[in-house]
Amino acid sequence: MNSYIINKVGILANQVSVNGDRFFSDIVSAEDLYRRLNLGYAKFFKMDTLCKWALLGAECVMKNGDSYVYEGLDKTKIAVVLMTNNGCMDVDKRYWETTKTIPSPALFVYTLPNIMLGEICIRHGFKGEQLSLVSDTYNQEEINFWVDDLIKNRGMAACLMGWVDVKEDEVRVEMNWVAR
Amino acid sequence: MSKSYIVNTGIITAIGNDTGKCHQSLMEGRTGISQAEILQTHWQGTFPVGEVKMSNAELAAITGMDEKLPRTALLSGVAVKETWQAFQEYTGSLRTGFFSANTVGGMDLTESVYGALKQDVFSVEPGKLKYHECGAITELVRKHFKLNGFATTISTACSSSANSIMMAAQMIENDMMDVAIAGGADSLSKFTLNGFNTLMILDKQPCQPFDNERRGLNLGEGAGYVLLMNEKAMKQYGLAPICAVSGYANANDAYHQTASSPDGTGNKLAMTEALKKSGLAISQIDYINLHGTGTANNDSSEGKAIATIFEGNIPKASSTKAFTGHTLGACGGVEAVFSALAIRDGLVYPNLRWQHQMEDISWKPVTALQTGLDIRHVLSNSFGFGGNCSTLIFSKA
Repeated sequence: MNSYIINKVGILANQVSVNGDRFFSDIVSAEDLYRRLNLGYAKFFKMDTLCKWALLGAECVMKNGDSYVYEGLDKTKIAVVLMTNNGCMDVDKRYWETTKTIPSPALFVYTLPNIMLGEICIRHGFKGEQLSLVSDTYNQEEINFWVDDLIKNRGMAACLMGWVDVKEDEVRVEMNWVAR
Repeated sequence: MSKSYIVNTGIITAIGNDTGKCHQSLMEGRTGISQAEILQTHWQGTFPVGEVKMSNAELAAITGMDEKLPRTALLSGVAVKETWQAFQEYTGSLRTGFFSANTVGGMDLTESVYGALKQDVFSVEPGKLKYHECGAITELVRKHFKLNGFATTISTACSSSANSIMMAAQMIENDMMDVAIAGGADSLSKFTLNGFNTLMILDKQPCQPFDNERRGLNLGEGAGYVLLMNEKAMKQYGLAPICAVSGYANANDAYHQTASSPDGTGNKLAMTEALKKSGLAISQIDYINLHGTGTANNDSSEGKAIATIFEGNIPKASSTKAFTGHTLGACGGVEAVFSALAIRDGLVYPNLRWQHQMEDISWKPVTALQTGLDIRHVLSNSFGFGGNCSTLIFSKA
């Protein structure tokens, strides 16, 4: 394998750890973590919970002091591969409720799990290959297969990869920044 | 290395089931927008659509395909037959490809069993779900017409079939192929009608693209394909081209899932890059076939992007979606056919039902049919959800 993990982030049980070190604890919500990260990206508040946590995970794993790990890289060669189980089920249900009265366009546009890739790519300007996978559990063998292929054979220089799953209050995010 | 040339076309839309009939409707200013009769929907009588007034059995009878197949495959078959039938016997050693776009796949069949599926999975005939995904449509049509070479499906929302023409042109230019049937198809479905209704961009009246009082779009259905050949293939068949594919580009707006950025960033990128590829000056474009859906957002972004690129020197422009409705995955193919005819016959189609000047742009579309023109270069826009923006340029050969 030519690629290796540079940064690793985990968000679980209300805490964020980056490369094994505890980074934030007692996080009460996605909005809380957003504020602690000083993001200043107002579009965040329009997003569904899956996108919010994916965006926050990406932020934690790619932030390198005041800059980002991808600085200097060709953004057409940065891939994103994410896996989820519950996908956007939360917003699906909320959208379905609105169809009884007036279907909400603002919720409707988030009713696809791969929108989380779009939101990350829009924020960071990534234009490489993108893949969204649905799996019962975080199938590392499968995700590694795709990421390896992208970096070895498809001309990608780096890849943001990982697992983002949100079910009610249970949030689990594991992301890696992988580069050649 | 050879350019790709359009030598034939095939089309079916609400205004006609072949190139000749569509052309006649365009010349006579006859719209295809009406209330849904064939699509079974809660919204029959509420949202007018560009519906092909032929049952699945009638469509299937044209090609000999099975009427139980998805309507998108049947529509695709009708247009592919017109495009390809006269040429299929004489391919010899020419490398032939099939590039077919769609966005709804076999959704119509899935919808027909959806209620039953929720009650009892085993009550549903598996065949109804077999063609659900978009690639199945291409496979069905490919097999029916024995198109055994390279075949692919592109599904990038409303720019799908523009992208299939672009991909075919690229493969011909790179000498990977001699002949290509490229375009796309889409049938109406509950899925798309309800989705666009959720987004609040459907017009309850016949749509008015590029009008200040526009209220939204009318969905349409149909299929449109062009037959592309390189010089070698044209020589073998003894054909003269209708026009050449001289420029193309695909760009992403990266702004919103279903809306264009206010200034049309992606629109500008697609048009600029396609112009660059064609080597043409902006003053050489004689006609723009607009994406012009009739939504507040699209027409404003597209209008502003055109104003920026063509700076006070705006070519004649019109949207033909007031005739056909927005045929989604088929529109790039349908409008490529219209663009080729505009070059062949030297005409510009009217932007039907235009009444009021838009406030945020200073130019207006052509509102009456213009004939006897020398149309040398046509630019055709197709902008899709996901920010997927494409522009094709066709030139007199």
